[in-house]
Amino acid sequence: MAEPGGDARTWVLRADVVATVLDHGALLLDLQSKYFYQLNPSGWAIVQLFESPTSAVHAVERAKAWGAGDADAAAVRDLVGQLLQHGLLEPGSADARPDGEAPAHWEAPTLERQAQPLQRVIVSAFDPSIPLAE
Amino acid sequence: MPSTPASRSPSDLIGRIQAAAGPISVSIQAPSGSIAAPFRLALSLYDVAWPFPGELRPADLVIRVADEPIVPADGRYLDAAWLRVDPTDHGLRATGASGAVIEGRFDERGEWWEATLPLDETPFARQREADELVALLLTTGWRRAGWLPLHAAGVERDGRAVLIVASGGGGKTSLALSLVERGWRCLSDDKVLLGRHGGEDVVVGLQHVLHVDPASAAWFPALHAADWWPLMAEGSRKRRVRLQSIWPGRGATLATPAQILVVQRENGFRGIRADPMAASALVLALARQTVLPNDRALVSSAMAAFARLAAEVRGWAVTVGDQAYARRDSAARLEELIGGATPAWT
Repeated sequence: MAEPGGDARTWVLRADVVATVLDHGALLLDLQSKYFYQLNPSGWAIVQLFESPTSAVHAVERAKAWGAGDADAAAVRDLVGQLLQHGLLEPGSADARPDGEAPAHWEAPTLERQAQPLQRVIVSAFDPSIPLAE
Repeated sequence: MPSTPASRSPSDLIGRIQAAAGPISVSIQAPSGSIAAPFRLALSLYDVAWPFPGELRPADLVIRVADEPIVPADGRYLDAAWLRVDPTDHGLRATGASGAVIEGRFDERGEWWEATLPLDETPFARQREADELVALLLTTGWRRAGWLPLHAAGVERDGRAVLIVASGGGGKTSLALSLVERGWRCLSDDKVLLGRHGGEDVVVGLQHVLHVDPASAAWFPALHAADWWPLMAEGSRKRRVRLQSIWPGRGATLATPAQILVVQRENGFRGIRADPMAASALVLALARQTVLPNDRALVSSAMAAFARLAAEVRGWAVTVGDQAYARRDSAARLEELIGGATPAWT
């Protein structure tokens, strides 16, 4: 697994990861694995940076600009590490160093993978249920 | 004047069908009436007239029968138990488990499909195949027309809809029936469309056909003849009945979504309990009750619609215990809860 802490390598959110903005944070759906991931507002602000190629170093810089202290900086590095661990990021090109959008209120970013993925094989084009064995 | 459900004409004998299902006007040409019959049956279930006249899109299907080897689809767009679907440059291509192939070409006006069915099939396989192909044809057309199919029951009162979702066998039909018995009108027992009309979110029913387990007649006297109704599908316990034949005048077509109930059963618990749901949990519940093909734009649009809906409606996690509906006041208590600000009752 990549070490994002002092790593200036750039990463970008995979094209088949769909983000849905909620009133509080966002949901990510990985169309390959079918897993959902829930982000709090700070987590979403960090993930949004990776809609353009950027590095973990830059993500920490932006978080500090938004009010993150040293402890939260570690949490940002952990978040990027989780994104990499779950395969949500892929190698990017030149660092775009996006400014991003600050969350309304900074708090430690969180990413939670939902226990159950969507069904890979479903009953029919209309019914997303689990097919029963015959 | 709203469009009419599946129509019959002398052309039935030579395999022509003209029917409407939601916003889609379906035309099917088959080599014979016997080949067309399973498709006619599949389409006949869509018996709710589309409430927006003049806003139908065409979906044409030409069917041939042949004994030809097929190249199976990979399921890159959709992988269902009896159908695999791949994207193509012009639309979709799908192959069925019993050897059918269907290819669709799409443009801004509608969808144009061609299907090849195997020569020798049992009636059961032929009907299942027709059901699968019709489901693909309709869900594709609905989405392209801007409507999101949802595997949900829906009831309506005063123009406001309560949507009921659950995993298979989770009890959404029973919960819907309990409310219809109390005077709510039925949008559908498992198929609705979500969309925007006149700048507002609306939900439209697709079928006034109920799929009921005869055992539920113990709770709902109106279902006393359920054992005599046609089977929903071979191998299923459930029976199929038109709403009109048991609760005349209780069908509804269109409503504004107001509440969503996410239902689950719990053994060892008696009664019904309802707990408020956070919007994020509601979005996840809705996403699990719609088919999301591997199409980023389509999924993004659907998820955004769910997020908007979850922010607008009240969501409830409803737990239904053993024999909940045997208690005559269960539905009344639930109705009281979802209709007002009464705290959850257990």
